[in-house]
Amino acid sequence: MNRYKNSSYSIVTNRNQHRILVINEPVNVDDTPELQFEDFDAMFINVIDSVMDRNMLAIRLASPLLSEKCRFKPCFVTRRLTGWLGKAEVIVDGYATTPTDDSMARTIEDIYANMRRQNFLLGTQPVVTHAEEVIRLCRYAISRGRFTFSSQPTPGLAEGYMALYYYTLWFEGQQTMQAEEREWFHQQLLRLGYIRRTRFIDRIHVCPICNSSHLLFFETCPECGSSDIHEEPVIHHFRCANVSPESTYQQDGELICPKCKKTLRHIGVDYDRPSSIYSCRQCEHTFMYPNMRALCTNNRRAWRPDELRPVDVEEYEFTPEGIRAFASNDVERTLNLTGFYGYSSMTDFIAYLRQFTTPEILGDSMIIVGRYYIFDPATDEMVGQDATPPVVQTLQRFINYKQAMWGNNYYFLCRVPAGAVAKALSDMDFEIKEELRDYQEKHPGFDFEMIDTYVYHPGEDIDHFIQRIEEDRK
Amino acid sequence: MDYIFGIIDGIIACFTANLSWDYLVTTYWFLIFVEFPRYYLTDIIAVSKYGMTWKSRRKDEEMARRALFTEMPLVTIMAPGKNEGRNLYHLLETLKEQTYKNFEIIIVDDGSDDATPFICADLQRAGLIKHYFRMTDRGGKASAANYGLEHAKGKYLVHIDADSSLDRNALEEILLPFYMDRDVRGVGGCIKVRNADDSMCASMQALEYLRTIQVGRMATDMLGIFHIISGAFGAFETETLRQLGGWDIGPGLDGDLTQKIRKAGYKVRFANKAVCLTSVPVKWSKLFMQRLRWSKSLIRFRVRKHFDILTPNRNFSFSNMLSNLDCIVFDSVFNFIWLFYIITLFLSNTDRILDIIIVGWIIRLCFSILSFITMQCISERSRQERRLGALLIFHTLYMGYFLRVARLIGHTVELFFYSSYKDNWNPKKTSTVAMAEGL
Repeated sequence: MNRYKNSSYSIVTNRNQHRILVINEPVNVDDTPELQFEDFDAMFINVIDSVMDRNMLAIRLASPLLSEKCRFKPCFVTRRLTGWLGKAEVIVDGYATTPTDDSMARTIEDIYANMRRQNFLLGTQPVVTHAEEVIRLCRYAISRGRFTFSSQPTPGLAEGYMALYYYTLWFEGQQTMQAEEREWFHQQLLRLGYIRRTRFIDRIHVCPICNSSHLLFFETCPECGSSDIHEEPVIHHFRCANVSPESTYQQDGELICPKCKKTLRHIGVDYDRPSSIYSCRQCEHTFMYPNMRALCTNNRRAWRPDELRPVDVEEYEFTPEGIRAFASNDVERTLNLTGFYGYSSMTDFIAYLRQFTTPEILGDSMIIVGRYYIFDPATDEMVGQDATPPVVQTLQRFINYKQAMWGNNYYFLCRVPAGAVAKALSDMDFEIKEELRDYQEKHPGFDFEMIDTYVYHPGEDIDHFIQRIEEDRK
Repeated sequence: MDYIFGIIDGIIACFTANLSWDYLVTTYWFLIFVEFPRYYLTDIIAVSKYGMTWKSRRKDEEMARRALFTEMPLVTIMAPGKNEGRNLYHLLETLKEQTYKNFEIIIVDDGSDDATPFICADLQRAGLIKHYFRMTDRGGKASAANYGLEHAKGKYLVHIDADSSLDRNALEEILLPFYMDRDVRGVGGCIKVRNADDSMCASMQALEYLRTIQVGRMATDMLGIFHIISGAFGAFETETLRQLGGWDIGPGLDGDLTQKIRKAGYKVRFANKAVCLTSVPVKWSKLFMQRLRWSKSLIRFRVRKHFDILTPNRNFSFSNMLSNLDCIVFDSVFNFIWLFYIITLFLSNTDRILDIIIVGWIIRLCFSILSFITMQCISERSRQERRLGALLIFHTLYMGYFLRVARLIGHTVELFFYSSYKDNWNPKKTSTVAMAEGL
């Protein structure tokens, strides 16, 4: 029973003969050769660190979603962390005091029974691309009998509402899928009959550039744009038809007409308040209706409300066909995976270019493709083939852009609205360099350099554009 | 047929054998001694003088224009009104075409219950108007105008009706008098009818406006007794307007304000080249109601509120007295005398009343033709207005009888029954207070 006993983890067997991996300290399960997929049936996270991040790290490293060796296996957490997990709670099947709890044993039994009933295939393929990650998420939801894409307002989430994809996000600050990508994915699932719309929830408005729902709303002066404005009621004195703000009438606590100097005694008889007026403390402009401005906290741009992008938040549910397809892992064959951002194969990358540059989808936005060359700084030559998989492993979590590796060339792609090309390009360069530099620290012996950028304008011949990319590589 | 021939014979007889000068004078004394000198003769003199002084006037105007365009003051154009949203676009279009460009536009919505708030908010978003102020409860035109005045930033304020529109140079022309004389604090624009072709009623008013406004006000202006800056198009110096407390409760608030400016010792002028086209009532009933309202305001303001102009006091001014007196005597007192005159004429000439009416009409027509010629001399769009001349034959009836009757009724009911306080032109809440305080 204590064969695997070491300080950071152990394996115990419960009354149903299920082997439970008890994790006492964050353990990278996938990188531990002593632990194999077959060695355990469920996980019990028993890390109670005063630093919450360490607890979360432990869960992440033994996650049924993200870890290959733990995939789809029931995951339990010590009861002492109840209420502390936040969004990580989604991948937790329950809380228990000890790994041999009866309730925990029952839940494990239920989960496996459910998976057996669905003929759920665990699969052996590791998750590499972002698309595969999303599919795994759907499969995970089905394995737990959660057939509804619940959507509810979620603090801290750029898209405002929690959708299915939300579960894939682990790192704070990581952006979600692009809105068009999400829409495209939904459309595909709907077309295949895997999901159906069950409920309209809300129409929300997001930043038209970055799709962030983190907007700050201001009432501003239409003249100077300042939000230093104040509202004041206006008084109409019937007797002399004077109409001016209340402050002009205020005298020693009484209301005295500035025009005829009479005292206003009775509302409705002497005077009324037919309106109110805003005035700006910055430019002294007066106005009836302040302008509304929405400031995107992500890209710091201010928008008029009518410029914001409306997004329908809807609830979906898996259909029996969808459940069957996801459980038997057929979806990878039927689903077109090219529409996903994040890491993909070069074939998918090119297919994406073809598919998403049609005028209906692209509109007046543009596509930027960048190419990095990854090389060995010592020899100035290509890095060995064995160096590529770890690079990919790093990049697959980086889902802001669509990316692919082709030999030693690393391509990335991003859609930007017309007029934001230069900014997007510099943002992209910055983010990608940051990401690769992180990787460089862990894996010295390689360097990278941006070589080319290609900008696709609406209406351009896509074959010609792809040809340019291919020729440059040769 | 015989009957018609009989009448024609009668008319011919009138002019030949039966009608001596003495008889004419005794029968038509009202026409000859009251109407002709006050309206027709003064018009002719005014137009002649205007024609003769064109050289010096042009020089003055040029100087004023230079001063205006050197200073380039900000002008506030204000259009208060209720349910005027649909008229605004046309007004704004003509404002965009103005030769004088430095102005801001304020629209005050006096409790509209139609789409006006949306239209205005939209126009404001589009940058066509600077300010849009709305009073959710209707407070009357005076309060709406005062609300706008409160926020006017311009050195001069141009008050305009939302259903009016301006000639390209109107704004420039209405500002010139301010630069000709420092004491000028109010300038009236020349109002003409935009919808003259809509109905006979509108055409009649078009002719009337030409005579009483373009030529008539030129004459009163020349005599220094110009007494009304129309609400449809008038310019004021904003600071003076504020000192005077803006507009008081109407109806007839434009005449009231003009009197207030005059009483304060400032001058008011008429700018006959600053042309504003406005829409007039097309139905006789509507027109009648409008004129009743105007007539009531004469009694309410000129006779009651500003009666002190006529009495000797610290601020007494002869021209102010004359200007008020001109209004009261010619528009009101002589109306009652006319009634008396008509009744006696009928009673003493029952056998030949038709002849008398027709001869009177012919004399009046001759005067009208004379007056129409003077209008043609002065008008900037004389060609377009020439066709209105065909209506002169009816116009004498319109001016001589229709308007007189309307005025007579208006004055009488106001004089004895204070009916302007019951008029729903003002909301009840303000009328009640005005009535109680005798304003």
